[in-house]
Amino acid sequence: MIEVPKDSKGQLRVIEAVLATIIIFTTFASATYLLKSHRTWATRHSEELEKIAYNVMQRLAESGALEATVGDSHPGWELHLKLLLETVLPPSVYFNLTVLVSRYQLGTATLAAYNGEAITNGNSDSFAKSPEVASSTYIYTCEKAKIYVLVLQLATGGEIQ
Amino acid sequence: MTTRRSLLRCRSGQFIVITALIIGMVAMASAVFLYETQVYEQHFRYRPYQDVVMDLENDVKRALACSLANATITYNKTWSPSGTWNPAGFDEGESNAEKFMQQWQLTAINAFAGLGANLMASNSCKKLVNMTWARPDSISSANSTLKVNMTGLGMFSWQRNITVALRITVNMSSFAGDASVTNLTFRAICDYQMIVNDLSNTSVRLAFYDIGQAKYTNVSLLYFDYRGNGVYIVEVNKSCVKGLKMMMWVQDRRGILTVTGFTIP
Repeated sequence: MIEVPKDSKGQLRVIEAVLATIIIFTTFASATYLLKSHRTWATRHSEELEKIAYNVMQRLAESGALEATVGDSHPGWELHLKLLLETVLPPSVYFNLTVLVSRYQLGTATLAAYNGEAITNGNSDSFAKSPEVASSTYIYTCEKAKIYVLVLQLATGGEIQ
Repeated sequence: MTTRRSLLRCRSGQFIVITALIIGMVAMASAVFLYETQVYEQHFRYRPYQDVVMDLENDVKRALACSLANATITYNKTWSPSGTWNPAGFDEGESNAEKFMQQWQLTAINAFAGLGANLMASNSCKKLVNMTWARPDSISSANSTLKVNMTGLGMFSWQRNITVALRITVNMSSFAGDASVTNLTFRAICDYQMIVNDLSNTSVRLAFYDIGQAKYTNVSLLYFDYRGNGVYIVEVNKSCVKGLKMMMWVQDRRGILTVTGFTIP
């Protein structure tokens, strides 16, 4: 039999209260963790990236930047376009832009790679290891009567845990 | 008498612990319920309908403008100084424009194949391009109906009429001048009655009909200014003579050309 000293009468209540507090705290901590669905987070960020990709392409087209780079096709236009993308995109976002040109022969249109140099600020690992990657396809007809298809891939920095 | 309590037999704190456990269970159940709600929400994910359709609409406008520009330039190449054009030039321009729009359509289908794109850009009128030239109110226009189905996005039967145009209207009551110069004003509007405010003196060329030589001769532009609301004022080094026939070529920044023809009243 354990004996409790006379002056320790309230200790048991304190232990009970601490125990109850720990249970409630642990429960809320677990609940908070459950509410943070990693999949939802990743999906939402991919959606945001997709929206950003479309907005960026729209802005480049409307501002005449695509006409001055892709449409003009002066030497080094790839670098010029890369600098523009670095300016308009957040620094934590990796991008990779592929430009395809449409060729029309005998009633058939085919797409061929157009950019001689890679228009990217990352490497293959940047996209493979990123938790979220999104891409958008954009069609652009320049004033010189050439039709281009631009595929912009975006990825956030950081690696998959 | 000494008060002693046994921990094993003490039950006074059980109520608090049981209450905490119940609160914990309720909180956990609520959390799981909310978590499930979020999982279901993922089904309503963002789909880029608007972005894709906006891109297609804007680009078909660019493609139509490009087709019309090339068609007007091709047709104008057949102009002879006597003041006429060869209809074969129109047919060639029209044919090239049709081919280009066909290429655009196939390219767009290829580009958006992953979204199940099925689209068609068809002529709204009999011909893709129209040129009503050599009048005080002249117009070059191209019109197409774009129909889009995107099975991958669950979007069907989106349809839009697209028009690109350059309309030049010479103000026939604006002629003024003297024995050495002639002033006139004209108004330039493009698609959907939008004003054209970016013409420059290199966008405009004028010629007058020389009866003695029976052909049109170019005149020099002395003054060119934009007066707002799409209205431009032009001054040329030719005497303002009643009954003088003139032609004016106006090309906008997209390359679309419209030729007006008028007689000084």
